[in-house]
Amino acid sequence: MKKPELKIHAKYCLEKLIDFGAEKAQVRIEMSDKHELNSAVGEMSLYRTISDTSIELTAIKDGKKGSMKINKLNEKNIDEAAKEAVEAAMSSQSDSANDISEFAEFKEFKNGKDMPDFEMMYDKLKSFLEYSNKKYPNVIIEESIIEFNAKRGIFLNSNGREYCFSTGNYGFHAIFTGKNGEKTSSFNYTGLELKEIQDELYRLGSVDTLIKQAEEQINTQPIPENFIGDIVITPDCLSDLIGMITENLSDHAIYSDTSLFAGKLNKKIADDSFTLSVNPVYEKMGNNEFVTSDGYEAENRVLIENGELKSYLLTLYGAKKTGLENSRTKNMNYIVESGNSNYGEMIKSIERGILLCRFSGGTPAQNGDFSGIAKNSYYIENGIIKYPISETMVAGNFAELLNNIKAISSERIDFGNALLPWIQAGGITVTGKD
Amino acid sequence: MGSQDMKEYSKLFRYHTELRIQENREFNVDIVDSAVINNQQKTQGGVGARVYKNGVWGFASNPNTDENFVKTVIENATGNAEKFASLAERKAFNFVNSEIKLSKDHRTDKIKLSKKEKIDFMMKLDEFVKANLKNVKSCRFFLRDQEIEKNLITSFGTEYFEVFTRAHIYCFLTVEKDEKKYELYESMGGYGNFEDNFTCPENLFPAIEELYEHLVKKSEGVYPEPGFKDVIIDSSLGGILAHEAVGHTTEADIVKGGSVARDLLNQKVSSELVTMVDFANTYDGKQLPVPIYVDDEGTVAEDAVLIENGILKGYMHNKESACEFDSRAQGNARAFLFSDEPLIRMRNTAILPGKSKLDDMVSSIKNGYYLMKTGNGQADSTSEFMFGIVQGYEIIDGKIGRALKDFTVSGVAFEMLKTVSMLSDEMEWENSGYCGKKQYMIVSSGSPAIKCKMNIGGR
Repeated sequence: MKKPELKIHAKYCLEKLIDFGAEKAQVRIEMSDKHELNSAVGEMSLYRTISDTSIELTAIKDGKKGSMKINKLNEKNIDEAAKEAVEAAMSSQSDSANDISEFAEFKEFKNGKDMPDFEMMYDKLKSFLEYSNKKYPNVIIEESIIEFNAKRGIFLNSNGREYCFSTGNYGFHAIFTGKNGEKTSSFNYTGLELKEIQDELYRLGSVDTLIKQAEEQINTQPIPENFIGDIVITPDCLSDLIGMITENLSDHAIYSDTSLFAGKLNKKIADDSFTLSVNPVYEKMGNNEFVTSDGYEAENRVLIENGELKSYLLTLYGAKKTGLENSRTKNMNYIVESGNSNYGEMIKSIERGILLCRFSGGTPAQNGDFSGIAKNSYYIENGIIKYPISETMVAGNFAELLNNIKAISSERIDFGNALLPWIQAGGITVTGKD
Repeated sequence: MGSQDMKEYSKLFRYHTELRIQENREFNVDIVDSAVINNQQKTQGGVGARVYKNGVWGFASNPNTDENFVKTVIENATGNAEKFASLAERKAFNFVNSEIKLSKDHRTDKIKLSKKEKIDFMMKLDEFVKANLKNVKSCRFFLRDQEIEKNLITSFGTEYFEVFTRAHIYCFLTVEKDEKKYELYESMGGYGNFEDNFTCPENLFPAIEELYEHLVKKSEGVYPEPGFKDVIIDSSLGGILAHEAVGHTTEADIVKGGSVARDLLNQKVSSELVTMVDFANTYDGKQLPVPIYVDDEGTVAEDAVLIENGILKGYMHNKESACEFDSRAQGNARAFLFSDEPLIRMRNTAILPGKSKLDDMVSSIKNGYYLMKTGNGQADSTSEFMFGIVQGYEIIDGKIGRALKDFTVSGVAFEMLKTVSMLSDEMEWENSGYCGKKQYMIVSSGSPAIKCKMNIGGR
């Protein structure tokens, strides 16, 4: 569907919401196309092309909000959905924080390609499988997917705010396991998002390193004894830690006062060396989002700067609920600033610790306590990575961990949708099986 | 939507083909501290087709289900299969197919409530908490009311219509003690529409009160002592463990991917007390929470026995893996959305009950733990698993002791199952969450209480 048609549909949606009684209304329409090549157990298996549409209609009346989400863009479905969105609003509770973004001049955003290069995608995946199968015969590439995602959309609200946007990017994901005879490693996985794929897939991000490690991890050993020591969190694993942080900065955690960081804006919550940002519109990232869910032009945002909390991740609703600033950003494209330490020196400095490559644990408790299994990870002793470990748990408190950062590497891994270093932190309880 | 006659489209099938027209409907309400922060009806539907040629698959989908779009989707899926088959080499199998025509509509016969009535119902729960439960710092009620309606036709003549339903209200309570916050949740509801599960708010008050009592005890609780301990896994938790730690390792695609279960077929993997089955739709004469009669490849669903009296007896298959393993597809190929291809998924996975009484099981432990509820769990190809335990108690000298603060348990499932020494004579089913693989999927799991040994993590 061409852009003018999308605009006509969006205007029609808005008119219908107002016709049915909405005092304030907003519409977001996104049309997406995915081209996906899949491999199973090292062989090409599926070519999938999917088209979809997302039409989200939001109505506010008497301070009450309701919404309807459908995926069929025709008048009959829109009429029904607009009516239901207004009915949903009327059924709800009044809340003064329910609102829509104010008027802004029209803007249009475009990034990435509209159509994929199928031959390139096929060749890259084939080459990846051939390389992995040949170089790492003891690793099974259980699943690998190369995909192209194109999206075009419009945001429109009854205050006259209108944005059009389109993006296109490639993605790659792989899941793999080391296997030799009856011995099996833990599975591991990694992923990338890129606007263009110019290099071989195995050379990008941490793909080759992790597959190589899977082969090493077929033979594991328990740690010699329980200890409290350092962990070095790899870039792949660091996104888990960042997820714990951003969870505590979101609307719900802040206005329900259940966040570990509630009331800590402009206060120190991490070591001085730690700086974290979200970067939805940074053009060098593999994927961009230009318009926030509440209709603001998305901005890159520093969340933690030199250890100090600089911004929450609040939407318009969260901002009005708390009286704090609307963050006008998207929780994506993490960048952690590099540090002064060389990765090798970092390992050398550790008397006893764990190279934490994957954390199998869940959301920390509301008091910040976490514990989980150190998967695909290694035991470090006297500055040397000794061996891959089995049945080892790491536990600590993630608010304390942020303050116990000892070093951040100068090297970083570029995943396309994140740029992350290795981080060394102390005070972690490491326990093996009795 | 409703049941549709799609036979005309089968004239366009040139190879082994599945055609599915599907709509997922969901009404969500999220109330946090008396504020309705989300109130949304979501409908996602369309047509998807999958075609098999020379060992590879082509898939295409579109949200529009008008005749011309359906035809285009079939053409595109066929074209994708042909294009891929011309490039990729993969062994092709002759699938075992049998034709069936069936219709299963799980929607309620009761009068449907309006959105306002459902929100009012939820607000009464919120009011109950405010009026009756002291020192609750935050209270959240989340409703997920779902229907999934699908029409399937295959090139081998199967025609299937199904409407699946489930409705849950999740209650999350937070209290604060000594400047630290503690949370617990409870899911209420299950198979059926909202009207089947929730007749009046007062019926849910006892469960919310019980949750609150556990939470207050937890805030005053202790951390467990780390180590390899005797534990009782509550029946509400055992099924999730069976699903995550054992079930996934026996899905044939994971088996091919290197799972430890690949080398354990017909070997002893657990105590003789343990029998584990992935049920299709019925157990003990009763319909299960996720009843599957025909899967999304058009296979008639039957029970898949995974472990029988401690011996690993089989895997879960789709048509392709069944050929590869010289086994039989039993209805495990499932897709979540119209735009998803079927994957090997569990349905109603359960450890069957034993003969012990729960009280006797608790009495038999001198120093151990009673694990009641998990916040999350993960397992991998080695069957090594971890579960975050958010609700549990000490067992000291055969009696329930102090409550426990959040901690994690871990182990290797095929080793842990060998330590099972008692199974209770009652079992519990739940279907409140999603299983994540490449796509989400609704599954259920069941279990009795299990006495075994497990690694307790600590701080």
